[in-house]
Amino acid sequence: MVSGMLWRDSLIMLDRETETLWSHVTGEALRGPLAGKKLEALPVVQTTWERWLKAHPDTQVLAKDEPVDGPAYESYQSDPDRFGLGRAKRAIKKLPGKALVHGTVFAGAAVAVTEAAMEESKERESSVSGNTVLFRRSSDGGIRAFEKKSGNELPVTRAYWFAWIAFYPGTQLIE
Amino acid sequence: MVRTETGRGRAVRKRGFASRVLPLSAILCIAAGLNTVSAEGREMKIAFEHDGDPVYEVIPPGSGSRPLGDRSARRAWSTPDGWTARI
Repeated sequence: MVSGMLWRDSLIMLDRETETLWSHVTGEALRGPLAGKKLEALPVVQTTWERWLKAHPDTQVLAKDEPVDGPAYESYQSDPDRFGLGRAKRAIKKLPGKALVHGTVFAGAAVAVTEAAMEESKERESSVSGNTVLFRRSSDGGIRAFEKKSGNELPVTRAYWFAWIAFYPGTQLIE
Repeated sequence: MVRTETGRGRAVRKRGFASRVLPLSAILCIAAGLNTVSAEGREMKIAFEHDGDPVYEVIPPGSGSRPLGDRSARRAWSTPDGWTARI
C-alpha cells in the first residue's frame, strides 16, 4: 500500500506484513526489517482495455460490485507543469517532464524509448553495453523489451520522463 | 510512471489521502530549518535520506507535525480495510 512517502519523485510502498518501505521503481527496500533486500522485477504489460481485448477477446475480468471512482489523477496528468519536487526539475533537458517513456535497465545501463516513438514504429532498438536492446509493441498493445541476441525479455517501466530520469540520469534515450 | 504513473486509472477503487497528494509539485517553499516542503498547500517533511536523496513524507492536515508514516498518525488515517481515509 502507499506509505505517504516520496523518494526521487516516486511513491514508496509499505508492505503490511513487515512494514518495510520499498521503492516501486528500483524494488529496493529502503527502511524496515527487509532493508537492503531487492524485489525481482518481472515483465508486465500496461496497455489499454481496447488493445488488450482485441488481442485476447476471451479475457475474463474480475469486477467488484462497488462503483469505480473516476480517475484520481486527471488534472495532474493533464497539466504539463505539475511534476517533480526538485532533482527531476533540474535533470530534465531532452524531453518535457511529462513525456511518457518506457524504460529498462540492462547490464547496469538504462535505456528508454518515448511513447511517441513507439506510436510511430512497432520496434526500436539501441546498443547498450555491447548488446542490443529491442523495444517492441506487442499485439496486446504493451511495450516489451528484449535483449536482441538472446531474446530474453527485460522488465519495462512506463513512466513520466521526469520520474524516470530522477533514477537514471544517464539514460540512453530513443526518440 | 515511474510508477509514479504505473497501475492507476479506473481500476483503482480506493483513493487514500496519500495517493491523492503524492503527485503534487508546483511551487515549492522550503521552510528554513524545518526540513519541510509545501506543494499546493500540502506539507511534506523529510523523513530520512536514502542514497543521497531525501525521502519526503506527507503530513496530513490537522495532525500537527506527525507525518503520515508516523504510527500514531497512521492509525488516525486508517480504516479497518487500510488506507482509505479521505479528505
